[in-house]
Amino acid sequence: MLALEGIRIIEIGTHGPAAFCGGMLGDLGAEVVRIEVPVGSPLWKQSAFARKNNDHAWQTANRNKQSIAIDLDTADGREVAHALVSRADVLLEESLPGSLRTAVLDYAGCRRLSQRIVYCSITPYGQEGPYSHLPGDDLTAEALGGYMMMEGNSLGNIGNPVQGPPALPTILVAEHKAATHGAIAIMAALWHRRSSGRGQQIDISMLDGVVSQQGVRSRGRRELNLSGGIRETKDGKYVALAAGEPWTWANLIRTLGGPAEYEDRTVVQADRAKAQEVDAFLTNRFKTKARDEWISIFAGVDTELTPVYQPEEVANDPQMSMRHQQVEITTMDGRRMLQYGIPMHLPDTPGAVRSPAPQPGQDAEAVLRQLGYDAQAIRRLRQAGVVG
Amino acid sequence: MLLPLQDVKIIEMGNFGPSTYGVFMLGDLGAEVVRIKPPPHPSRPKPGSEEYDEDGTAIPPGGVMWHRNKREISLNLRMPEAQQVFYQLARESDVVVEANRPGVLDRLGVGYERVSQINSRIIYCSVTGYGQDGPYKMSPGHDACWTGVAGALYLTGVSLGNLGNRRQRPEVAQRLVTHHAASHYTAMAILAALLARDKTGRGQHVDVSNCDSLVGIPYDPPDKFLAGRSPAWHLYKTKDELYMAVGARDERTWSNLCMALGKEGRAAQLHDESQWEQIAMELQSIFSQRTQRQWWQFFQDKDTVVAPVLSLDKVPNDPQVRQRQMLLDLDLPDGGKTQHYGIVTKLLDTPGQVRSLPPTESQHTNEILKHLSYSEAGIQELRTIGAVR
Repeated sequence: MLALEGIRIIEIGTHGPAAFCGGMLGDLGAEVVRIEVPVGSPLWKQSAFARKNNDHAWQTANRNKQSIAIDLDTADGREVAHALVSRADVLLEESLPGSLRTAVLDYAGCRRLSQRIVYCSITPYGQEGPYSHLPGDDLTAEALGGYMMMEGNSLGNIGNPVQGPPALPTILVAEHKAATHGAIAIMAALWHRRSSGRGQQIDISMLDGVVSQQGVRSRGRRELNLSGGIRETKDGKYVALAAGEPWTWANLIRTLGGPAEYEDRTVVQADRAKAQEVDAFLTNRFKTKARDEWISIFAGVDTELTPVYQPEEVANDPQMSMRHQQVEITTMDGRRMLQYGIPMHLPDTPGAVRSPAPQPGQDAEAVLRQLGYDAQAIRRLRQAGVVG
Repeated sequence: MLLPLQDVKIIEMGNFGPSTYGVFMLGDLGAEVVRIKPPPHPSRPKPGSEEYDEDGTAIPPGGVMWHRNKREISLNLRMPEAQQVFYQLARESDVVVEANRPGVLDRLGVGYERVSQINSRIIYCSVTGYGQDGPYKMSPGHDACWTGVAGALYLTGVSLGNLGNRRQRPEVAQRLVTHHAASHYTAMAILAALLARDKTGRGQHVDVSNCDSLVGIPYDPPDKFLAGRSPAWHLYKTKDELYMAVGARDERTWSNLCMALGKEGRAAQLHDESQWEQIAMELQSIFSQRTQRQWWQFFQDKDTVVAPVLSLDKVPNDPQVRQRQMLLDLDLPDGGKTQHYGIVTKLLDTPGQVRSLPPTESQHTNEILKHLSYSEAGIQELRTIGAVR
């Protein structure tokens, strides 16, 4: 059994955080149907752009889902969408506030179809406020939330931070947070619905997520922190170091063959000249052997030292492979692709990758049959271009 | 007022790591949280210092607020009397969250096996560096290590230069990405296990690892857009030496940007790499003509993806942040004021709340023990022998 088995989720026009949110819930067992919008509409263009621009993210976010394309500008198309909403538990969308009103798929419209619907909108800035009408994405949320400037300030060497210009994000923290905040809120609303019998509207903003966790940041380079950071090895690779406890620090120095006077970190840190000496020792020592040699030497030593992998190396790591954190799947167009696994291990109701991301509209027939449309009606809808 | 998780009872045995933040999000949504604080560790920094929690964990800036909506009791779980208190709490709880290396709590008699015998419906969530199994399960670690193993350090480090900011080596992101990811997965996994319990009738041992949480974190592939070369994904310096971020990566928003800046001729050249450098220079010279504030005003009705790059100290005064109540001014009992971050998970019919401020040292020991039917004399006895504080 899967944890969220039996929970039905509809996504409309999703390509960013809401698609990722639906993907995580799908990994845990929810049945997710993507309503793709017709070719050429603005929402379709954004989806197509997202698909083309980052195929891997698209494939992973949309695995375990079904897809139906519906022309929401037609009465027949809206009828299909409304039938899907009527039997759904959750609706996920990420368009600018108000854009789904014409298709009567805004919260008010969906609530008339089902009192039990949990309606979750994930947008750059939220459903209200002076920026709510603006388009945006991870980049703008991280810019406004102060993250980009914060990353820029982290340049320079340890102990000598440099006030640098802001940095463009690579890891999409704002997007990830919005997606997971959405999933948390949805499950909380589903939990509440058990007793209240009613769904509700959820309003998630990427900017809110960034602001809420400004407090979570590294002390990083503001101080000369010997035990943390990254050191280059002989082969131009790196090891990551975080020997923050008194004993893990001592074990580190001992294993590196450093002098005994380095083993008490509080003493070393208290004396700036000594700290710089130890810093240089660490830098030079790590350059004498290749990364993987160091990893073998440190195997079994109680200290925090790990290899720094390139993303493509992760699958070969013994821990990550044992935890099934990289799974190989075959995409709908026949390519083999490594995707991440499921980070939430619920042993009695484990998540699963059950199917690859769908091609747009591939499940139209199956979805319509479930809604009670017969073969003739389906053919008629297809011929009229209402579904695809 | 109804809160969505008001009937969920959680025991937190954590520190200041992701487990604490995960529970904090559930507490904001109404869960009743009892935080069990261990006695101070002899070899760790002294309690009361600003930099460290009592159990020696570094407190990130603003970290104390993560204990709002929680009650706190101090238990010395090495003593059988304290374990009895724990068992009574576990009997009436739905969730236990802990963040110790595998086996540590088993030895104290409060591991999953023991607790599930007392309460088969308990959801016991362990949040660790590398998980409950595998060759690294006993390894300690920190953000740099987990991101290193998960392949994410190269993503934060080779952060693809723009305007002279080119970083060639892996580097730890300032925004502790592990913390973000693992804390969110903790909250999600607990909720999923609660919903599953409705069907199975049983709890389970949920296993969340910091390292696992990072493997799937979304990133923009280091392709041409993100190399910082594309004028559509770029930072531009303004007249007042601040920056505007431009992320107009699709045709519509790129075209709108070009029109707004009087560069109609560039509107169709989003993908013309031969022109990128020239376009970026042209746009830079335009952006240099106004201040950041003026540009932000200018772009309010241009339907394109642009935002000012704000420093952290400017964020609290942003009108959107204010309107969304993402910074809350709260009253302290001594008449002072404090500022907390607001609640992101906005459930409009049953919104989360800050119901109480972070507890002071073991503030609720008496209250919790009384609730468990200990007499005044019994509580005094527990204090005398050092089982509680």
